[in-house]
Formats: sequence, structure tokens, C-alpha cells
Amino acid sequence: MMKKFSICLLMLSLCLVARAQWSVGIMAGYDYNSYSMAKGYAYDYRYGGMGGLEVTVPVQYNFLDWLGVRADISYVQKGHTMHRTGIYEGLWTNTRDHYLHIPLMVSFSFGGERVRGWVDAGGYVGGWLASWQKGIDEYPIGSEPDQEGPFKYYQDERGYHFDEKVEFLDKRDQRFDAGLTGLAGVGWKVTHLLELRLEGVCWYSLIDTASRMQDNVAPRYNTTWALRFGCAFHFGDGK
Amino acid sequence: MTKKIYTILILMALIASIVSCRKTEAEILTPSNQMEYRLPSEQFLSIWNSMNTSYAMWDLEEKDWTSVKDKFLPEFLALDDSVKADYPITTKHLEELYTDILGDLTDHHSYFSVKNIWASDEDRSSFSISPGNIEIRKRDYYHDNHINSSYVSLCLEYEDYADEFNIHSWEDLTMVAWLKKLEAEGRASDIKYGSASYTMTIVSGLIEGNIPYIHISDFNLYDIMSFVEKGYNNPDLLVTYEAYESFKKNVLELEDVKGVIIDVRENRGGYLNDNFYLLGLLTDQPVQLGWSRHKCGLGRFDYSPWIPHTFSPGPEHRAIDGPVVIITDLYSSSMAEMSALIVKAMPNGCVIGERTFGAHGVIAGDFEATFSGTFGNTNGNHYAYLSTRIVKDINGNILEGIGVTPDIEMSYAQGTFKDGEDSWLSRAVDYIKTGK
Repeated sequence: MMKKFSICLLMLSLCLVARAQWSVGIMAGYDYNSYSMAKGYAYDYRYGGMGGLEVTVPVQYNFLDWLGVRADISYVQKGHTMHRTGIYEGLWTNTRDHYLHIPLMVSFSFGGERVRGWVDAGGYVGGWLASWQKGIDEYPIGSEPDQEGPFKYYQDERGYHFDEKVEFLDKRDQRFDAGLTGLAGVGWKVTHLLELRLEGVCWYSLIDTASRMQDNVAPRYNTTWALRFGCAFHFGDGK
Repeated sequence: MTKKIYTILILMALIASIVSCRKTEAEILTPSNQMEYRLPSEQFLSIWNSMNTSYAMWDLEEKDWTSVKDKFLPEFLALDDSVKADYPITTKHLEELYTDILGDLTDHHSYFSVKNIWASDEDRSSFSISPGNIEIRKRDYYHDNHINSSYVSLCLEYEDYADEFNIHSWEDLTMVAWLKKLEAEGRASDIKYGSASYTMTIVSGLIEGNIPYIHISDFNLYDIMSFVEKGYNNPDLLVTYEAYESFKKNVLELEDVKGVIIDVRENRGGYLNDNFYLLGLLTDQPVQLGWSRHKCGLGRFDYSPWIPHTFSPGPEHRAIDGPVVIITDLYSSSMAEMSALIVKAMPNGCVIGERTFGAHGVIAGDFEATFSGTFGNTNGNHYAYLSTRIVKDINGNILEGIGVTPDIEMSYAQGTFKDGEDSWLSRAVDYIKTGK
């Protein structure tokens, strides 16, 4: 019984390998990061999303005509904006985060030889590479003799303008990132080897960007949507 | 087909369950909404939560605030059982617990006042904790107050205070006695002193005709100047103002200023804006003392960037070429220490005396400016007085809890303060005359 099962498994594998194809590509596009964070009682803080750039190198291995597995290496720009309202209006910070993602997805494809669509779903792991902050903040009180109130500074553009790298603080920041990813795409085979691709992708992070060393703080999550365009090179029959 | 539908449904359910893996929102109450409680554990959690979001110096602390909750909450829950059984809680026990929790914080401005609403009628009903005062007692140069100039008007009015602080006349202040002695030797003039509203004492004089001197017990100059401008004619206020004006006049109008001495011994700080009327007199260029940063969000370690902390020249000023000497001691704190940092950053500055208290954090009066700092109510069940900004000096060192180390160290143990001598002030004059 065991022998028969092993033979069947081997034959199936050979069959899959016979139909297997590789593809490698390069894609880039625009993304928009949606930042989810409760402001708590800091009522005049306003958080928002931020657009950015995404570059990905997809590598796919098709077992069957309609089924494959895909792993990418993706550079994803995330980020968020913060500004204050009311008497502190004029203070703002834009934070640009740079991430590396490695997704692993199951790919389902459909369509004809020349034009095909696909839907991929899976998970990713990744890491926070660096951050950059830009904005206007308030100088400490006592800096100028004619200061009449804290808001005078940024109303007349005399606040402290900063544009600097954010140093990683392990107590505050979470380097590790992981979550779900899904995408839908369409491709047009220009030649037997070359395919042009357009994809819409969503990265849904399940990791709070605040370090676990911060207790009882509002969790912060990134959800990033991207639209990217590029090409893929097929080895074999193609997708 | 049916199998495919089932597969899709199972996949969707799987995705939905994974998506829901995100943490739910934390309940973060504003500290002012956590002032009422029935049980000791509720009081502890109220203070713990308020500190968690409002304390500005968590990144300087060795202690892990989460572990503090894990460690102490069971002890407070045990106290809950006592309260429920109608047993009082001793204030000493509560004070010991909170001292373990809060007593070693780095913020040397911090001060906590906690009520024991479960005390017996015979017991005291509240206690206070000052981490800074606890820490300085461990320093090898710790001593009691020597100057007590803040209390001079109280002492001159009430005998009890006079005996307690050993001040029965103005000449019992070391700097007044020293100036008078120099005056008798023909080396000092323009000696003025006054004490306004029991809170601020100023002593000034001119040494050897070209060294203006001022002692200032607290930084409330801005208030005094405002009152005088508004026409208040309280004699104590006017004479105190006159002592400052005399110093200012000497700084701005003397043909040759050899150097300036600013004496902030036992000065516990006050308004940052006072800088413009004191050190702001002595420079025509902005002076960056260092950087500061504040909380920027409710996360424990959410901070703004480091922002240059610069003091500009005052509305009236003159560039002093000679040495600017500031005299500090263990009790020089807050704005007095900021003044020492400014002097350290001046090319002609010199700090003489003892390492200071270590309370450099800036305090903003408006909680909502950074949603951090002081919380609670002095008449309520608890109160916490806290800094809102961390300061680092021009060399990038955070001196909170450490203090400003003088360029020339002096000690009360070795100094001479009898019969009109004040060896610290004499050392300052020597420095100005010799440059060493």
C-alpha cells in the first residue's frame, strides 16, 4: 500500500515538474499607507495616511497552468501624517517609513495565452528599515523676549522646522512586520518570454508598530494599498 | 462547484480570523478623569496609567514601568481586601509602597502628593514624595541649606522663622555680610537688597568699582517688573526691584565692566523668561544652551525631535567681554540650572560652586500643549508635578537627575562663611581678576 502511494506521489510530482514554469519580474508603482491609531485624549492630534513608492521583484513558480506559488522582495514606503488643530494648529509631523517585505503567496491565474489575470493571496514578513521625519515644532518657552504665547511661533512660520532621520528606539519601535497580503493583476504577453503586468496589492499588517515594551498604549497599524506596473520574464511556457 | 464554494468560504473565514488578530484599542483616560476611586488598587492604577502617558522621561528610566504594575498591583489588591473588611490602611505603609514606586524617578522636578483616604482618624491623611530630594541625600556633598535668603522677609517679621533659619537681620545673609565687609574696606558700593512677597530676595552690589554682583533667590523677576510697571507701590516690592535695577544699571552703564557675578545659590528656579532680564543683559548674541524635546503622543516613548534650546539677548543688553561667573550649589535647581547651562555655553562663562540639583526639565503650564506633565489636583486625591521637556546640554549630555558640574568646584565644608567672609564669592572675584 505504502509503495503504491509513493509511486503515485512520485508520478504526480513528475507531472507537476513537467508543467512547472518560472517567472521573474520587476515592478514599481505608487502606494498609499493608511495609518490606524487612536489618538486617545490627545484630542487635537489628527493622524492621516501618506502616499509613497513601491518596488517589487516577483518570483513565481507555477505548478499548473492555473496554480503557482509566488515570493517577492518588496521595498514599500509607508508613513503617516500628524497635525494639530485649535490653538496648536501649525504644528505638524510627516513620518516616512521604509520597509522591506517578503511575501509568500498562492497564485491563481485564469484567462487565455496572451492575456491572463491572476489573484494571489498569502502572508508576508518584513522589517522596518528606516524612518524620516519632517515638520514644524514649537521652540521651548523662554527663547525670545517678545514671546506672548506658544502659538505665535508657528503662526508666523517661526517654529522649529525639522527634517531628520528617526533613530530606532527599541523601547518604542517595532522592527518586525508581518501580515496578510493579497493582490489582483492582469498581464499581456508581448512575446513568449516577456509579459507586461499591472497589479493592485494590499498589505495588511498584523504587527503593532509600537514596541511591546510600551504598555497600555493605542495600537498602531499600517494598511498599504499599491498600484504597480512592470514586466516579468518567463522561463518555459509562461503564465 | 460546491467544493469550490466551500473552499472559498473556508478561506474567507480563515482570512477574517487572521485579520481580527489586530489588537483592540487600549482604554486611555485623561488623568483628570481618574481622580476618584474607592479602593487602593484603583488609586494605584490611576496613578500608574496617568504616569504611563504623562511622564516625559521614561526613556531615561532604568525601571520598566510595566514590571512596576506587575509587581505592585497584587500588593494593592491585598490592601483592597483590608478596606473591604473595614480595616484602615496605615499611611506609613502606603507611603512606603509609593516611595518604592516613584521615589527613584529621574525627573528631579517631580513631586507627588497622595492622600490616604483609608487612614484611621488618628493617622495622617496624606504624604508627599520628592524623588530629587531623596536622591540628593545620597550625594557625598549633601548638606542642609546654608543661605535661606528666600525666607529673609519671613524671618524679619516672625521670630520663630528667625530662630529656625538663624536670620535676625539682613547682615545674617552671607552675601550681605560679605558686601558690607568689602564696603568697609572700600572695595564695594551700591549695596541694595530687598525681599518681595516672601518669595523673592535680591541682593546686589558693585565690587571694586567694576564687577557688578547680584544674588537672586528665585526667578520671579518678570512678576516684579510687571507689578512695578502696573504702578504697585508696595515698599518691599520697590526696594527689591531697586536692587535689580541697580545691578542692571551697573551692567549697562559702567564704562569698564571687568566681569559679572550672578549668585544663584539655593535658587529653586522660576520663570524661564527671567533670563531676558538677567543673563539676557550680558550678551548681544543668542546663546544655545543645548536642546530639548517633549512628548508627542500618548505612547510612553513618543517624543518630538530634539529642538535647539536657545536664549536670545534681552530687550536691554550689552556684550560683556570679561568673565561671566555664576555661583551654584546643591540646591540651585530648574531655571537656576538652566542659567548655569547658558553660562557654560557662553565663551566667557564660568560656573563656580557645587554640582547642582539636577532638575533641568522645562515645565509648561498648559497640560494640553503636549498632553504630558503635571496631573492631578493639589486638593484632590493625588497630585503629580512633572516636567514636560527633557533638556540636554550643548555637548549632548542629559543632566537630569545629575546636575551641572561647575568649572571650579567649591564646598560648604571647606568654605569660610563667618565674620563677613564668603570664600565662594571671593573665589569668583579672584577668577574675574586672574582668569583662573
